[in-house]
Amino acid sequence: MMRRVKEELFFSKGKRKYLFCADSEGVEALYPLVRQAMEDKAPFDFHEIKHESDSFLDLWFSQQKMGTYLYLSGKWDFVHRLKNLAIEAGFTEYEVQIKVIGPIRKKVICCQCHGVNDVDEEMHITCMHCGISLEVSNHYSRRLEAYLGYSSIQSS
Amino acid sequence: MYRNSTIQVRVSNIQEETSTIKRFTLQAMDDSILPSFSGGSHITTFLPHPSGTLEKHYSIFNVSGKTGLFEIAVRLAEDSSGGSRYWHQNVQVGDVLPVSYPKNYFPVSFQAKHHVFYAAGIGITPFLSMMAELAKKNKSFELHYAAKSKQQCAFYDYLQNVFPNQCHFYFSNGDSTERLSPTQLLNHRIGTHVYFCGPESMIHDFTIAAKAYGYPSFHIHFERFAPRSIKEKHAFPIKMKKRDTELEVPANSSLLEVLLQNGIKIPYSCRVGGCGTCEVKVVDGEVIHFDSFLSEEQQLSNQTMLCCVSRGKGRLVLDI
Amino acid sequence: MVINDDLRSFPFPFGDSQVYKYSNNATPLRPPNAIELTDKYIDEIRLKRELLTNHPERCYQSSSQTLDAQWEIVDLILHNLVGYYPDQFKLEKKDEQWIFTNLQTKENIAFTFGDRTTLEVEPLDFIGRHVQEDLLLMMQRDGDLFLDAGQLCFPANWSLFFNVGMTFKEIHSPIPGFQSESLDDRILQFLMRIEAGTPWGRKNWSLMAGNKLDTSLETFAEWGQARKQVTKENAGKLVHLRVEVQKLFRLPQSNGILFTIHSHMLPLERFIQHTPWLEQFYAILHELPAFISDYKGISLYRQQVLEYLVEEMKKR
Repeated sequence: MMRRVKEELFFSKGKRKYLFCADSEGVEALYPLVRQAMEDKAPFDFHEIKHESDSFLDLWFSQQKMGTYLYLSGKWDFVHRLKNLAIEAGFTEYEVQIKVIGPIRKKVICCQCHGVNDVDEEMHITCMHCGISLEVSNHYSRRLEAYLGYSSIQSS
Repeated sequence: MYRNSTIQVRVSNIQEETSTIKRFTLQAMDDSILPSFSGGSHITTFLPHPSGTLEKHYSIFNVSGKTGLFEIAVRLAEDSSGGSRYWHQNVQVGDVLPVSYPKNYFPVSFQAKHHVFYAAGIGITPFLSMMAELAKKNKSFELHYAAKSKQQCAFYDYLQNVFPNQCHFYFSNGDSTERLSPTQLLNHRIGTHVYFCGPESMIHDFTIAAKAYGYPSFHIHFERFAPRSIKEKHAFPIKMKKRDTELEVPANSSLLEVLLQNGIKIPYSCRVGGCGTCEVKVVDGEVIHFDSFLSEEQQLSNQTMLCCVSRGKGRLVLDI
Repeated sequence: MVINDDLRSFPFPFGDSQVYKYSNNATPLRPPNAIELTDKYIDEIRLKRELLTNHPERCYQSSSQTLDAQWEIVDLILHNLVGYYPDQFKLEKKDEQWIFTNLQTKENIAFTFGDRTTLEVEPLDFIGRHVQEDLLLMMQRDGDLFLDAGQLCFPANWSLFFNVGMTFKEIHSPIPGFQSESLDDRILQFLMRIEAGTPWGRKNWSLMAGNKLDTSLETFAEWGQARKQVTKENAGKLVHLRVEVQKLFRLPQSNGILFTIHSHMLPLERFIQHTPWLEQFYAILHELPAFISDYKGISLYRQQVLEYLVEEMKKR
């Protein structure tokens, strides 16, 4: 869900309310959408999140009614945390768009030892747990929030 | 003709729920039990009829509390094509008939945080099993149920008794002040899934309203047991490419019926555009889709159709 | 020609086609039995239990919402076992108190149906230890099918640990060509319309260098090396035809789908004894598109196998 984080945000028309939610780095990316919401005379909340607690955010998300649409924008850790809170409150992938500012953290699971490796954009890694050479695939598990790394011998 | 397996059942009880609705309890022939079923399931019943076997679909539930039974509720329809009249006038306790295994085209959402059921009249029936399943799993739900009057409101006592905190009733004769209205859709919290069952116009109004309020389609569920009322059904010609044969589908027949009558063995199951079994490939022509199985994308492609309900806007060339 | 037992019980995977084509080749299952016992029963049961003990994470996965469906599977399989193999399995039921007897393994297991605490392992894990099949449970949730539980000891080069929780289409996304012509959509739609009381069966084949059943993704480094050792001379003995008999059952109470996979292996030299099979297999392997050959892991030694088959055809 919501893996197309590198793509541009678009305005999802016809919602009864919009939530715009960003960290200090993500605010700017939301401005064009806020403008469109204003043009459509649609109600919206704009929150720049600083030190709000999980319980505050959970309450805020949970009190929303059906028909609400959520935009998240900011650094990877920030959007990742807020996305999980929003889903927990009941938002689905059809009600949320995400924009990541800066690098995306990617996890790769080793096909041999199931160890987790953090990667950036590289396609070939050595598993830090068992030392096998891995090719990063696009086989993705939402449960593990990770990509599968195949043995390089196999994929060659 | 290919047909899925059936089970022989015996009618063990008939209960008058309202002046027009009867509840039939069906049990297994031997001392075994009938298969369990998930919330929202239905069965197809096969009834003898002068013009051939009548296939009718009914939601199944179990309000009598004994396991291993199917129960159905049948409303006597004024313009009955035979099914509901047969159930009301011919079926007796002790009668034996074949029915399908339970099928479910109307399951409850798994990831919903809250479920809201909107029923009108006999549309209550699929929700009986859905609410029972959710209650067993401690899930959050509510029911909004409209009927003509308290007397015409099937399962009123049962619902008041078993789900006292979840049920809201609306009577159009003035027994209640409030009327069932799509604006109630504005009240539901994020994470709600809504379910509609009732007359076509009610499903239509609620679906349109939910979409206008911004509900994603993913959160909107409905079930219709009758095919969508087709305002004008026109005859249309078809050509079967592989057989190089032409046929005419009259205005009062479905394409599936015409194919079957001509000995062309098209597999089918639900006959109301819900299961997808009778899909045929379209080579040329424009299809008017009436099914609820194909995705919008598949429908717009004009390359495929469910021949039990969908029709040609003019001539169709089929890859059969 | 003499057809021995291993050939007679071996599921012929090719139908009457001379070329390989992706398709939904499922047919209604007759008889509707989820399970098949072969003369390798005791050996394979022992192997499964060893793998489950030594590699639990690899061989068994489940999510918590599957327990009801797991009991439905226990119900279905136990009744299949005693119904189709009454000499080898017994089941006594008094209300929810069930006693299952496996005469081959000489086990007697008493439990309360529906009560997880009365079994040593989860219900799916329990019943899987009495059948040669791998058992996968796909739950239908929110308009899609999810692999939510499985006992998998004999995978054909995939990882249950990684794939559990994924949708049908996510799981199959690495298969080349599977998404073309929306085949993945159609098969998903087919699976989602499977009805209780009408199970389906299909067969899937590949070649294996070696005779190991437990060819998991995790242990590829151990078994994958044999692919490099295939020669025209040893292909008949080293290379095996591997056929998965897959069966699909709708579970009406949970609305899930049980997917049983029985993996059969036969050395090529046994399979090709029957000359028409030899000729048909040669034709199919010869025409196999490169991307499917790659996916099935055959490419490294396909040439050697083809040469072996040509030699054999010359002898007939």
